[in-house]
Amino acid sequence: MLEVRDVVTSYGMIQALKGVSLAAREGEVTCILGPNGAGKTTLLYTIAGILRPRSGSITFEGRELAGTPAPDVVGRGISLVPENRLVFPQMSVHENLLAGAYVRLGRDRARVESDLEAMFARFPLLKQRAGQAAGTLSGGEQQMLAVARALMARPRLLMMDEPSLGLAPMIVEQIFQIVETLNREGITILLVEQNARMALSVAHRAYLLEQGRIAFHGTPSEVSANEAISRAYLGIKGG
Amino acid sequence: MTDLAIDVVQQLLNGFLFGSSYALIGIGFTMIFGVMDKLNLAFAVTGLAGAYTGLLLFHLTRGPFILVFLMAVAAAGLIGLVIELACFRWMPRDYPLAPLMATMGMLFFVDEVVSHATHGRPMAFPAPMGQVMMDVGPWLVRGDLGFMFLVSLAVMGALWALVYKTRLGLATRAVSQQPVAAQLCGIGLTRVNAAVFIITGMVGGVAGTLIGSAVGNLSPLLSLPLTVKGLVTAVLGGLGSIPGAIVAGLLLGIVEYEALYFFGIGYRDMVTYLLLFAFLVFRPGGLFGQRVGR
Repeated sequence: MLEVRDVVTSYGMIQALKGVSLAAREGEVTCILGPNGAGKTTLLYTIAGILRPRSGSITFEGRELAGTPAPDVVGRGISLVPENRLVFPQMSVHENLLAGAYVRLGRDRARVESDLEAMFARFPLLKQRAGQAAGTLSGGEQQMLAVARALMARPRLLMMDEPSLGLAPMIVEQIFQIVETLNREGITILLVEQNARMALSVAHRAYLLEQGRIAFHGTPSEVSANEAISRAYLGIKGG
Repeated sequence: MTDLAIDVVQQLLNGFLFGSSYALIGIGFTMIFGVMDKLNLAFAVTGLAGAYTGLLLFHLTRGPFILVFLMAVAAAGLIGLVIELACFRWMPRDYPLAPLMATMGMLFFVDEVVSHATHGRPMAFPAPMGQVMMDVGPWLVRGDLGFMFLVSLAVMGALWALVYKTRLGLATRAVSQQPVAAQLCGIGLTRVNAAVFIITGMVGGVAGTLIGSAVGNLSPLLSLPLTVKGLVTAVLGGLGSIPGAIVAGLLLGIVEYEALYFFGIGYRDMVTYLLLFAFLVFRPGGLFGQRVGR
């Protein structure tokens, strides 16, 4: 569904991605693991169109995507739940969700309303907080909101950047349940996570990104079977 | 009631009404700062240039005030867009200072154009209310100030509806609160920015016209004071806050009229700048701004 080939992205003189290739298959959860500064967020921002790749190609559903500006990427069916959630703090929960549906707000108001109801049914907590400013929500609630906001664009590919960052273990559990549910409903997911154990438990395929390059890829069991990777990312003592 | 008390209340009334024009200019500065995260120093002069365009039409056609007004608003909206293109969109992104300096250049450029076109002389501006006065108890309400206040109020109401009730308003707030997330929601920054420059330009055009008709003339000498007062208003209100700009504009109007009464015209602006200084020291985030982190 999504094919990234030899993508190079730089900040000025510094290459953050040095030729990354990976694929996210339709209907699967693909996770990208890696240490801080490996280029995981840069990769998602490049796919989402916030950053432009220097070279390489990104195809989505067979059509070239590289260099497409972010607002148009959303229209193509890809949404990103960004790192640190980035909710609109002074807007209400309800308005945050409307903003998520921005591209079809003008022409498809009835469907947006019904999607809104569906989203409130899925996340009852957000319904309780509908009128509240998003900035006053807890971290976990903001993460739910960020996911719900991304879903309001009706993506076929949902990218999530460190959804568990800074959240209590119980909330992390909930977030990953949501990931599994969404995937069962047919949404393809590309997940960046530091919490490797959790990520591998939901993923069909995993990539390891190190210093701007893919260092390893395989199924979760292949990742776990690799002693060096397990030791570095899963905290399992080799032996 | 003593004469002093009557006078103080009279000045308060005048300042409150006149402050509505500061509020409009402050709103322009603050909204542009909201979406761009940068100051547009040429904003006040946009409104002034719009008002001059309206005046030009008046001299050509002797048309009614409403025509002058509409012309000024339309022209200022267009000039706003030109400034967005010239000072922001076409500026290199890697130099954050470039847009600021470009808007400063634009301020003086527009100023020069006006000075040349008018030979630097003040020009009479049509006053729809003439010298009308209204008695309210022992006080007088100047017709032109009352008119200014009512029109400003209408503009603020329209802006409120635009910002809180429309899709464009939602996009504008999204861009000012979290530009990256706004793009991830499918909101194009360039279109929102252009819209904000046009709309604020039109607001500036309204302010320019109202000030022109209250003062009775337009002069290139107005451009710097209006720029500074608009900036002070935006800072007092908290940069990025529209309600803040409204309250700060009215407050600034009152403070100036009282200062004028107690200390005379020569000291009025000094009081304004002391007020700004006090705010920057004790409440740097302004009236409605977020607390600035340390």
